[in-house]
Amino acid sequence: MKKFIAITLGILTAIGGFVDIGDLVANAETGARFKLSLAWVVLVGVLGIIVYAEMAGRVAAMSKRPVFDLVRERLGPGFGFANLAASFFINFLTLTAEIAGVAIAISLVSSVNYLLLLPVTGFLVWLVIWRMPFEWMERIFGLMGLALLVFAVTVWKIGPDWNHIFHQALHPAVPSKETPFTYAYFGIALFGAAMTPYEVFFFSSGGVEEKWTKSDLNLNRANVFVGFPLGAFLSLAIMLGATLVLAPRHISVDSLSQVALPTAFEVGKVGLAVLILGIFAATFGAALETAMSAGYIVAQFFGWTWGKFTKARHAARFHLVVLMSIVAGVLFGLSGVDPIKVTEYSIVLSAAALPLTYFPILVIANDRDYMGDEVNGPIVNGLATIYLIIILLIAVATIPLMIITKAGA
Amino acid sequence: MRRPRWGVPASVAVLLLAGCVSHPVGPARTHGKYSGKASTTAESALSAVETARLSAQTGSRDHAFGPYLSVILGESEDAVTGVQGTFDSIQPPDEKADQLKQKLDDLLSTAADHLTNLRVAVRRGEIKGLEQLAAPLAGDAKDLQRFMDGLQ
Repeated sequence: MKKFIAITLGILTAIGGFVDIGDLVANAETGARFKLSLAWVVLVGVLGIIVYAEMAGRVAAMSKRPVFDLVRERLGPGFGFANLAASFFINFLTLTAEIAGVAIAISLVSSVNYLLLLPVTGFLVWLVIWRMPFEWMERIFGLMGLALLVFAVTVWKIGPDWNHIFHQALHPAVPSKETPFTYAYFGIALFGAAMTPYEVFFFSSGGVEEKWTKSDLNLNRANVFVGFPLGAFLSLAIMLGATLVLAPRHISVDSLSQVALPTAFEVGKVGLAVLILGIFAATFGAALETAMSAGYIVAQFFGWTWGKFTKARHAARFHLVVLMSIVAGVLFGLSGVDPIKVTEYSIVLSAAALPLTYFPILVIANDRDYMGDEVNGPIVNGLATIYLIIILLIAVATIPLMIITKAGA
Repeated sequence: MRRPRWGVPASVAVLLLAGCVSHPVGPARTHGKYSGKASTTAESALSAVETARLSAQTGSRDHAFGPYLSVILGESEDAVTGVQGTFDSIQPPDEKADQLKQKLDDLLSTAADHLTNLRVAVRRGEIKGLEQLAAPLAGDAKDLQRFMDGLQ
């Protein structure tokens, strides 16, 4: 019974924790602009994150070492450092976007300008990391994130013509007002939102922090195989809500408040309140994960003592990196950058940097010295290789597409 | 000893961060480019106007609370004044573009005025009457759409 509860809680946490500001913005934006013609990307993306997150969890459980620790060892200090610099920069953009997302969620119920709330939000994020036990952090914000299921209620209340919906999703085409380049650019954004690298940094580091062993692998697989697809279901519900309510009115998504508009319009005040709670939880949880990922990757690369399970005075440099990243994220947010633009850049650049994260995991997951009899099987290797090729093509195409489309304008 | 080469990655990072500002401005040296920017500006404004109309309708049905409506309507107003400011900062390349600028400016100013009325009303707590107050925005949306159609 105890094990069943642990698995259920883990799955629920994975569902709630799957969606972050990148998913909220990318899915609503593409739904409003491309309707369901990019829905297939969500499915491709979720299969990719399932393959690699399961692998990263298995590597953490078997080798007792997280991803970045192994990156330096396998790729050498030069390439490893380039990987660290790129991953840290993208993680920093994501952290800024998540902190801004929390502040915006609070501003939607208080009508206080979100810029004034940014320092308070940054402080709260740091305080939770400093004081709250690891498991509580995951559970509380993951479970609160389930409030986002109100997106599914919104779609149900609209009651769309499902035949038409499936036809649209199964016959993807570039809309007449768009070009193949913007279509590809937003496809990459959706893929990047689903496969954000910080998820793997946090997942593998968390596995080491919680001292996963071989006996935890089934729990890991249940979280990933059940929780992530249900998280993707949420992403599709966001896209569908925007397709049905915003697209017919020529509304493009430029702010987080617009993401909530279909729910407010269809479900009403209670739905809106639940949704804002869900946005708060999703962005707050992701802010915790990205802030800690900043500390994880730097400390693991340089071989410092790291983690929440270690006494703070023994992992002072890890906590300093976490704190400074939060402060820098708040300051960057206060500089007047558009949080939605920061989100768009973070997910698109995440897509460009994906090989840096996923290639080393694939290499290590095939190494019997680390993995023993838990090395990748032929099916996982086949899927992972296909995804690696996709990821490499995306990495090559991202920056040219960004220039050609003027970042999707 | 070789010094680390930070110049290129640092410049790329700065360029990327600079792209995160709200309304980046680019030049328009030909009438075609200028009319393209006019069309994009009108499209952004139309999105903001339609957002405000839907928000007003949501508020009048008692489906949203005041702070949320205040934020979303404030953002709609900012979006229209923001794109107007950006468009105004682009120099028209010829006389025909001058006329285009004047026409779009008038449309945007009218829409911005109507959005201001909505924002003021919601901050005064007059949520029930929002839909009625938003009625002129339907005309603004039609005018913006017609303007865009005329450019094609």
